Amino acid sequence: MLSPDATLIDVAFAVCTALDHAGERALLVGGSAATFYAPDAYQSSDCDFILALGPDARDVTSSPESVGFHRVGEGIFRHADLIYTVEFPKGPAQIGIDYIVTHATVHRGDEILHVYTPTDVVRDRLIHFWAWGDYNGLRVALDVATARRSEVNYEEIVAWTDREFHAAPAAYDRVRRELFLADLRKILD
Amino acid sequence: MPAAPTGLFGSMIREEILKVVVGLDQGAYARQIAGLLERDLITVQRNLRTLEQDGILASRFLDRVRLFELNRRYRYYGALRALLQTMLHDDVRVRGLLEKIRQRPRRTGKPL
Repeated sequence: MLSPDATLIDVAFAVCTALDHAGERALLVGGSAATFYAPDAYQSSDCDFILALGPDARDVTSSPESVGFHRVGEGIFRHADLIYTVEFPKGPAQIGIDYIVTHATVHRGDEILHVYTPTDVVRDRLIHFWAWGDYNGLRVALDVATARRSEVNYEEIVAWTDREFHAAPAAYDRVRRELFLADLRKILD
Repeated sequence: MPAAPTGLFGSMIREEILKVVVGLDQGAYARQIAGLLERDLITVQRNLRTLEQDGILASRFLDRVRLFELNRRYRYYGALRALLQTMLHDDVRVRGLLEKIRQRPRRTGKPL
């Protein structure tokens, strides 16, 4: 059971493990995945899980409940003693036009967590800056790259930005991409 | 005593206003800019008006709020936008202020 001083990462492990025991693979995505890799830089207040296979959110109630969360809305769970919510947005996991088919799996004692790779977290936060001008997304992308520089694949990110730009040139800002990639290159060099 | 730097656009506040306007994709309004930069509202409004009169900014109403953005019909719009984006990118202070404004989407029904 989660203690009242549990962190978002504790929640992520607990829920993912409960789902795993129920035979369900859930992938931690979005801002909570950024918090996992750079907790000092970014604190999300919700755990977003996308279910890889199997039932949708209506059918996963029992697993979050087994660690103290109860359902308060469509795919949204709350805990009486914690500020964090657990949510199950509809899948599939996707960043821009890319479907996410690989992820990281982290073990902590008996617990397990499936989570975006650091490269995918950087892409996921970058797209908010690139397409919407969200400067918080830019900072978090660069902070995660700084925290996990050896695990971020620069070439993969460049190739993805090329694909995105080719698929939807009007959606993205060319200058923002160049500025971001220059910063990322500096961090990773 | 040397004069205070005025920047490329005639005054530092005008430069900061332009950076904020280019940083806010959906348009920026005077009170928002003044609050963000901790500047006097009247001063911000006066500079916005000047920039609009010069054809650099354009404005429109959204409900009852006048939103300013770079004037897409300005002859040097593309070059100016790229320049301001680069200047904003290098300005840690203004970038930090913009980080407080969520511009990415938020799923309907997601708790605030």
